[in-house]
Amino acid sequence: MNKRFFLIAIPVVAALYGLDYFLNEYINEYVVRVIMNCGIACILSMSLNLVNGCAGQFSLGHAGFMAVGAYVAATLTTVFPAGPSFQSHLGVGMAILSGGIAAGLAGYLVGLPSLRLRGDYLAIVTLGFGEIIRIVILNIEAVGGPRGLPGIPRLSSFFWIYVWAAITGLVLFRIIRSSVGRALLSLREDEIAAESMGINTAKYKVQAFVISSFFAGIAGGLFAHYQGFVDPSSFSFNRSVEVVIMVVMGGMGSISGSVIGAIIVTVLPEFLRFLDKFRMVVFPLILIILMLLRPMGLLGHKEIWQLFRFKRSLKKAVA
Amino acid sequence: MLEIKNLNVNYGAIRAIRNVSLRVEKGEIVSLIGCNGAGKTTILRAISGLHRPESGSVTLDGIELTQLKAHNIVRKGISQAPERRGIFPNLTVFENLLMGGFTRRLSPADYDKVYGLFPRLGERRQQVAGTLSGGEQQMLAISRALLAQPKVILLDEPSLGLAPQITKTIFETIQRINKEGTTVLLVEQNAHAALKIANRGYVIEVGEIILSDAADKLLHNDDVRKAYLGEI
Ligand SMILES: Nc1ncnc2c1ncn2[C@@H]1O[C@H](COP(=O)(O)OP(=O)(O)OP(=O)(O)O)[C@@H](O)[C@H]1O
Ligand SMILES: [Mg+2]
Repeated sequence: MNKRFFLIAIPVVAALYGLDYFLNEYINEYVVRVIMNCGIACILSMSLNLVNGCAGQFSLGHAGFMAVGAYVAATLTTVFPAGPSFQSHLGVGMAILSGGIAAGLAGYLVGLPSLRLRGDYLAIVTLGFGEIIRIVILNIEAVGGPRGLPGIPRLSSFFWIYVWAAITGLVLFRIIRSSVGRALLSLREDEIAAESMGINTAKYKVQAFVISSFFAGIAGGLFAHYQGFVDPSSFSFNRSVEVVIMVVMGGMGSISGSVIGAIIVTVLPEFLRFLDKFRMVVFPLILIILMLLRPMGLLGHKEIWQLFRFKRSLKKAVA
Repeated sequence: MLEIKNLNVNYGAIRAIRNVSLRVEKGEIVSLIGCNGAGKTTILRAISGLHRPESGSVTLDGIELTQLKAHNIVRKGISQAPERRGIFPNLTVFENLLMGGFTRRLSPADYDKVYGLFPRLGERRQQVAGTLSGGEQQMLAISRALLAQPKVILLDEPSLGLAPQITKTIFETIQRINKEGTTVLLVEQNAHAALKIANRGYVIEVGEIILSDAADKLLHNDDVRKAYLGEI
């Protein structure tokens, strides 16, 4: 953590704090809700990108990890007798962190089969995992089973969601730029060649799963403490697919692409509300058109600033 | 330096390598030649830990390798340019080279060295590797294996699908790499080119070594000339 980090981090945190106040005072609740959902979606898509985009391991279980995080955090603050002592910003923060860690552990367990499976087969296993989590929760009476868990303290504010989104982005970006990120890319490209470059592919795959599911768990905890209520249907297979769409649309392996994908998938349906019942026809149609226009995702394998730098150098070359 | 003793390798119930022994001494170029399906690639896979042999031993400077995982064998000092090159197609030339040096702490000078061996790679370091020509991809595969700074480099059919001119360049570079201190085990179907640069050679047929001798002797061996050099 160098000086530059603080020079950037302090104004960002201050700005988020100010924005938080501004949103609460002046912006209507519906818009704020969309903005919050965007933040949570960004955490989900960026984290899934590590596994799906960088490491090339097709996971369809992200909602499952989110559920683990959401329920563990919400249980700590709501169900446990000691719950009230968690009902402060610090307490909720700790609970959300615990949710993330629990999800990370789950990610470790799910990462293990990924050592033997790939492609469609891995997708099926992770899909199965997500469903198992949902059904287990459905059957735990203590957290409300199918009725869900109400009365969760609504303490995850704009500020906390976006601080976590920033942390997620920063951590993932650092990872992708490190040797770990390069190892993941190479195993996406050619696993056997990666192994014969001296890369312990098993270790890196499991690491990717753990980190990715940790952040999915954080997103789950934030979600629970923003909604004030969770039920198993919030973490269905559809949610996992939605996150995959964000990643694929933004561009595999591109963190900024994931952010853009998350924003589009979250915001676009809101803009289409005027279409009423045709909304859910037009929305997928737009996604299809976007994918046809940019089959590698909006940003391809690149980050947004790399695209601009490339264009600039092209212009220079032409001039 | 690299010593293989009584190696047996199976694919399922099928024995692909039968009781193979061979050795590569420090500083040598040793060529292993044989037809399609003879088992050359299988031997290299067994050496580098990508396929566990049924029995037998592979040692490098006396250290047993057969129980090690592939990624640890690289650290012991063996790397390979695999058959059909196995480059990372969506990464740039430079990123591919970075992966080659994954287990080592390399300085820019180390990269300059391979650009010196293959100037074409230097010119194209930002190009996406999948768009390189076949010959350039082979250069990349060899360079990437070199950056692992191996004691022994394994080359699996570097001439595969290449024009004679490029093959010549690549074989000259292999000689240069060898002169600069890397021991080479070269697998080839192009027996002539492979034996010409080698010190010693082995001939493999359906999983068994049938001949081994000094390379120039093999070049003049009647059986070899008939079977591998297209002379009748
Ligand atoms: N994964 C595999 N499963 C089953 N059999 C295999 C496998 N890989 C190779 N074989 C068989 O093992 C034998 C040796 O194959 P290998 O690839 O080692 O030959 P090679 O000498 O490298 O041939 P080429 O010159 O064509 O590359 C062949 O009969 C091949 O069909
Ligand atoms: Mg072969």
